[in-house]
Amino acid sequence: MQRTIEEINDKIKNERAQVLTASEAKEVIKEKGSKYFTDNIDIVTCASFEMNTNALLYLSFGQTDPLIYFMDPYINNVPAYVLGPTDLALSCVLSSRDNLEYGGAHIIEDLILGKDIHLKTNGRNFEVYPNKEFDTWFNIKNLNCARLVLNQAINQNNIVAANSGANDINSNMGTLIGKLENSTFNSSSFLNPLINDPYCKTIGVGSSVWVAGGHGIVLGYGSNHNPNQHRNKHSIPIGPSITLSAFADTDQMKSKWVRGGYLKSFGVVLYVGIGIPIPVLNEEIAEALSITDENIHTTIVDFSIPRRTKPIFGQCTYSELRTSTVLINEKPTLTAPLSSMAYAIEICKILKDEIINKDFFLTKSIMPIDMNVELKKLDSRLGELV
Amino acid sequence: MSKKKDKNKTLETSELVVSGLNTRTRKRVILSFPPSVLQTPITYILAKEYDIASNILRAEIAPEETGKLVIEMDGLPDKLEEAIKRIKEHGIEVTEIARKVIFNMDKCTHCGVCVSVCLAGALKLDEEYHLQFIEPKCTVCEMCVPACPFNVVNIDI
Ligand code: SF4
Ligand code: SF4
Repeated sequence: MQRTIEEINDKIKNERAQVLTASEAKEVIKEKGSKYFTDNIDIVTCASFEMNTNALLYLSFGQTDPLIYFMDPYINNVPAYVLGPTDLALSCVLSSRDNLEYGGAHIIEDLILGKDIHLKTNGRNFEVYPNKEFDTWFNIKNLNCARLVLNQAINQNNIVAANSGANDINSNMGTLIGKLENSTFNSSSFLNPLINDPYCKTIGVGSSVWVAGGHGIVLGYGSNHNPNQHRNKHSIPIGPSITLSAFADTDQMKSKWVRGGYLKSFGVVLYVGIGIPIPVLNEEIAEALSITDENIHTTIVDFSIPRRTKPIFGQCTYSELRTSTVLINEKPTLTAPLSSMAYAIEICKILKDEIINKDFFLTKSIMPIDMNVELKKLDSRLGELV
Repeated sequence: MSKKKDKNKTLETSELVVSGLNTRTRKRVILSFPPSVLQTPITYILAKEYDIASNILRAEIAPEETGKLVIEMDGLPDKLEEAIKRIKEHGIEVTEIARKVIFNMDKCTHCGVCVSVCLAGALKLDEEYHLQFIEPKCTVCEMCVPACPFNVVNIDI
């Protein structure tokens, strides 16, 4: 049986589309098989609520009178970048000048909450832009556009971080207690859209995506995209692999799903909820959707050495990780996630309801995600002949 | 014994917290001294005999009067008990200040970051992946306080 996106969208319009969340879908496939599933189910909703960096908020302001060309702007005391006379980019990871624990990600949350936000800027010395200084408060309603660009919106998989050294390490994977006392991982595993569609057969450039309550679009592959990652026999990469870039306007977003956070020794981070519906176009896609945590592997990495290539302790599955104890070097080690499964489950349900209520339709992608990209390294050219 | 040596002791102790074998805990107490025992070198005795690092949070001592000292003691649970008994024998009144961690669940995303540092096993994710705080297991080690990205955990004194 084959289905097209258009047929599914027609079904949504006629209120006949059969939509399940990823958790529900796995139960049905297990019970009734993928043939039954393909015949009867149209869409499966997948989601993640993970820690993000690599994101920016694009802000487009109106003009002042007299005219201004922004220079050295600060938003709630966080430095922003000038992109044009009254356009700014705000990084999600930079901190405020007077509070390390408050930064761009928190401003994004505050903006969506509708709070007033402070803008202070100088003006460039141009003839037609005589305004040299400007100081004001704004909120989401005063902006021409506030667009969130997530250049690593979704990660197909991630690693498990542990620390065999003697001392604790505060890392991008949280606090890693020495002598392998704990470990952390960061993935929504069986709910993740890219785990359920491991070769991006249904997700491509232009696919619609649910971003924190707003609707956005997949732009293509994202930062650190590494499609050549080694895969297990269920087609799941055993470490970081495909990533997707996406953008969405903030005006429809809900603050619950966009959260500014702070990690000791890593700084400000953005947690954002992402949902992607996977159309059940054929049985092959249904089979990929049957994946469960027992068959999703990841790699345990030793963070005691801060180098690009780190020693590894081997692989484990997410079903082991979800028990809270994982064996590392034969030592039972406490393990816990950094990303919220509870929120991912909630997002799957919300997206399912939006589709049933005809608020969210599928879009046909205009181009596949590029799978022939090699992950590059950044090396020093010191000593190279020029 | 010099001050320096005491410092070394506290360094060792923070390693103990790391290994998670004998989890050290902290206790805050108010000590009320009658004038006669004002000279007792409490913090010295605590460090030397009970391996307790103490931190004076507030001191109100006037000559010829009762003194008040609020201190935080960091040590192994049984040593803390013994030490408090010993202080009482000196005629000093000891009032314990209950110290606990509180979770502002409205802001909690159930991400699990705090669970990863709770070696006492007081934090868990339940079957629905919601954060669960099993308070009787909590040693008030306070590791979860700075670990939470969203400032959900605070110390209540
Ligand atoms: S780290 Fe904070 S937000 Fe995350 S589960 Fe713990 S208390 Fe909740
Ligand atoms: S203070 Fe926090 S980390 Fe420490 S035992 Fe209690 S709940 Fe666990």
